[in-house]
Amino acid sequence: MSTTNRQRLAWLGAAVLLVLHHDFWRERGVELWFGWLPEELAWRLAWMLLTLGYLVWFCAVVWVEDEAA
Amino acid sequence: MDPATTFAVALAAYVLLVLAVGWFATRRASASSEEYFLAGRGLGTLVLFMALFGTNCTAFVLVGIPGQAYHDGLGVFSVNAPIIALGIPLTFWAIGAPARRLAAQYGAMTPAELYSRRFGSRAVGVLLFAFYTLYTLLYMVTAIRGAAVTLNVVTEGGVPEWVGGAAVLVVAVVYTSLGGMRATAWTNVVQGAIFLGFMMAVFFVFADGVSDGAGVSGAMRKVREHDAALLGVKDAGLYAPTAWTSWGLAITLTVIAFPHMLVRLMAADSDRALKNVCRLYPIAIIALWVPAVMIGVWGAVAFPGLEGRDSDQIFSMMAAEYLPPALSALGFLAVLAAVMSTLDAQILTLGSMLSRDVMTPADDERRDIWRGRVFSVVIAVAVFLLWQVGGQSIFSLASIAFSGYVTLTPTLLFGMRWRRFNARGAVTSILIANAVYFLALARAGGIGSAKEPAWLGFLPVMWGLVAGVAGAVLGTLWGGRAATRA
Repeated sequence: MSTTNRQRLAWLGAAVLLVLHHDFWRERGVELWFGWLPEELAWRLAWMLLTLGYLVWFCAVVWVEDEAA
Repeated sequence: MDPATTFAVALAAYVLLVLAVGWFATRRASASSEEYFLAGRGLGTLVLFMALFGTNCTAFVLVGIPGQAYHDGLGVFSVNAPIIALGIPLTFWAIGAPARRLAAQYGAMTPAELYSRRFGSRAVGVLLFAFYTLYTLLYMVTAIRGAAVTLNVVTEGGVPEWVGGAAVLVVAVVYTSLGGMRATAWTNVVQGAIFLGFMMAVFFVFADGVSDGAGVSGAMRKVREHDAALLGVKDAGLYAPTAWTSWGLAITLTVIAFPHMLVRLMAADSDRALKNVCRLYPIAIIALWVPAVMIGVWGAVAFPGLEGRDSDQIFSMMAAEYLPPALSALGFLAVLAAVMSTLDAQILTLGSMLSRDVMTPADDERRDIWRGRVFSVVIAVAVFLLWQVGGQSIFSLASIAFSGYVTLTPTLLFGMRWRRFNARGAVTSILIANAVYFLALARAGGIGSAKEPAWLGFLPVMWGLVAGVAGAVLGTLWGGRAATRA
């Protein structure tokens, strides 16, 4: 994949994460999943794990070390 | 050992430890200006991460966030933690990485010096220094007050607030001025380990305490029975869509605009270390923020009825109720560590900017280092006087600092990523952004209204940011293509 396409994919990934973070389209419940995990916290933690995956990919593929500023 | 003795021993051990780290760093710090101000640009992954995370996290996370979660519930986590887990690493890439490389290339040791050389303009450096100083001094006053109040509460009034604040400043100034950046970075490793370790450990202790031994599931069920809304997100105020977006922008962009964070990124030994920090950041945020928010939510069950800012005491109240004396003492040290890990970086950075950006750097490097040390003391005295003379009005003013830093981000970003961006664009951006930001604050209700909507439901920070971008573009393009690049 070319550098340009990787960068486009990075922008797209960030945009998807932002849409998922602005989750006013989602019905926000107060149920406890597995008897202990609030639904709201589960959603945010899942989002953060997705973000972690995105950042690992971003650092490996998109971030060019020592590129000219 | 009685609680007072336990507390005194823990405090003495902590102070001796950070002073020892400062002392050990002294020898290397005196070698050159670069060693003193930037640890020789040699911070590797672990120290860099702890220095950045320790500097980033203040008593606000340990005390303020539980206090807010007491009233607002899990929404406090939702509106803050996820977006900073994504945004802060991306700003490290967008601004921090090129800043590190250019700073090494130019031999710059402070953020203002870096941008001054980048544009070949002393005016940009001085302007950045002025706004950095304004917002950072206000920020430091709140940190000192947080430590002083906690010390006063823990000793049941035995240590007056002014004595506690002065003592914290003295200890921070001593190890900072002795060992410079290396001392502050290494003490941040100790301090970060204390507050991160404490928060993860007490999460389960508090859950057991609140639920009478039924663990996390029991504590969560108690919250649902007490007030199920605490397990969800409100739909008004900071949690309404426009405020949610504005606030997300503010807390994401403000961190890279802290001069004491940017200067630590400039001290990284490689891009590889920066990348590793970015991978670790989301995990550390989860480890710190989940317990911080849950202390507030569970505190609402254990100690119902606190009004307004009284909920800021929930951290101390939970610690006093559920923790054994040794862990309770560690709780106080965690707050102190969080305060000092930010304070030392701020003292060092403002001192170095005074030394190198306001005055001309000395030819003799040892003189440069001594000047940095003297200015560290000057900064500490200024903060103390501001706190004592300013009174409560200072704390209203301090609320403008976080959003105020954001007005500088267009300059910081374009300065690294837009080749045509020039000194005129930078000056226009900074001045217009701050003018619009203060106008928006006035519109929102005054100086203490940084979290209130100004126009169209958006917070003042959003308007300052938009104005900063517009000012940068217009200022740069106005004079044609005669862009400057140092």
